Amino acid sequence: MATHDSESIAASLADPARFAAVFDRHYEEIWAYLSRRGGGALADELASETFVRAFAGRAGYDLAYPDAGPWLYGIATNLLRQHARTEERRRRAYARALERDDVAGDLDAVVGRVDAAADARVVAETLSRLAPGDRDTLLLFALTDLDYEGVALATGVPVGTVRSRLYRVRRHLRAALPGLSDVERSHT
Amino acid sequence: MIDLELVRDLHPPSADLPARERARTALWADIEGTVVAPRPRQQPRRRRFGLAPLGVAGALTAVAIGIVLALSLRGGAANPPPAAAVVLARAARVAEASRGPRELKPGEYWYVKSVWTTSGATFRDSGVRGGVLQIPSAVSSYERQAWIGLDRPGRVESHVVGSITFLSAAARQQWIRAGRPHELPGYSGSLPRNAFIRPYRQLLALPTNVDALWKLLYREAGNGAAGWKRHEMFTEIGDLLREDPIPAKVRAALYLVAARIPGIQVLGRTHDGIGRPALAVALNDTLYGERSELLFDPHTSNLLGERTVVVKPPPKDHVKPGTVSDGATYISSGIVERLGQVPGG
Repeated sequence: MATHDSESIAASLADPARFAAVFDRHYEEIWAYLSRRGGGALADELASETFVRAFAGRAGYDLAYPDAGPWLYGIATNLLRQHARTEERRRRAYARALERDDVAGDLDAVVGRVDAAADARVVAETLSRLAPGDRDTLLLFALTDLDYEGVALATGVPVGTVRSRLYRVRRHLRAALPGLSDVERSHT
Repeated sequence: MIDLELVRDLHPPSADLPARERARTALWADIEGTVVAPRPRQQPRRRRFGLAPLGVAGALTAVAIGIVLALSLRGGAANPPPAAAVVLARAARVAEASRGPRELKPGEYWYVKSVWTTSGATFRDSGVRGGVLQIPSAVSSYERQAWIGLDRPGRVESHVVGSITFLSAAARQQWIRAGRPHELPGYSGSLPRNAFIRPYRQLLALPTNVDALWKLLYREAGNGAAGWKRHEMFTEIGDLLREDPIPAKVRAALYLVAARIPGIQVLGRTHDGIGRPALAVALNDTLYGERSELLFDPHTSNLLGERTVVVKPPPKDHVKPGTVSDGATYISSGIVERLGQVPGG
């Protein structure tokens, strides 16, 4: 029987065990987000810490929000900020690995992979030069199911700021990437 | 290729979840160790979840770095104050002498009316994934009214005003090729109670001392290079001035914090989006090739509006340097007693 996170959190104030439902509902997605940004080992550590901190801070949760997802992503994102170097190293290493793999296969496939590897390197470089708040906004939007409102809740900024940040950062990315179309699909 | 897909490609998911049970056990240890008070205290209400505290060690480090950088960024005492510092210091004095909004009482709402222009307009288009087409160089305008309740749910109503404008001929052609789709309507709906940028009690408790406020905003701007921090702090100041009933003394302190941000400059007299005389203060953003401007009333020092000017547009955007890509004009604000009511109405 599905209950909202807000109900579980409210109930957990008197009966802490009720908080386990929040863990069960969100652990996978929080871990997946953290692992995409920082790798599996870091995700193991930070996903665990995210829920421990969420539990400790549950009295501050605004029960007007049925879904605790944005709140948990916010905690996870903040924890990641202390591991920015790990995240950066992983991103650069992955971009390099893509380049090294371009050694075999037919010509079209190789050309395609070379383009993808070059793009990956450019994206990695561009991401490393973004302001932390802008990078968090972009990665929350790109790597999770959060919409503008959700990203705003997770990062603690107004929706208008999320919109303008995403616009600015994506314009910046497009400028760095040759051959990217002027028009993009988006979800709002 | 799509930029977001490239970002996703660069962040591949890992394979499995070996630590799930360990994480659950760690949480369970906390759950079982929790002693429940017989009557839970009243919870603080929050709108923005914000980012969780960094932890004591992280916070202390951030404060220490903040102090060092605050001192080093401030410039030598022998330097003459730049024009922006003079203008912002004057704005701070005017703000401090003003009464500012009175404290909200239970049952009341803070009302703000504004007009926004935002590039990256979105259109209904069944031909693309998700049914939504976004054209980065198309600008939509919408009027926004917000009623933010202190202890009751609020409401926001926004609707598109005027026609879409295109910053480049290429963007217009793109829209025509897509079959001239209709713009998505603005968002209207309810707001949670206490939906201020920070919980109302926290807004009231923001430091009025410029050093303390600088340290707070500096710490919240996260870790990173000086260029990032400037950008983040300017954004945070805009966030606080934008729509919230902050005390006059806090507003004054925010102006003084802005004056300390390296690279801040006065652009001089201009007009806001509805023709009111304004004084523009700006931060040239070296990260993104754009300029963020805040427009102040020369007499009251209130924030009238803001805008973003593209200084170095990417060639493929076909946008001229100096083009305004985003903006907002704050028309009116005040305390009202019920949803739908406007100040004086």
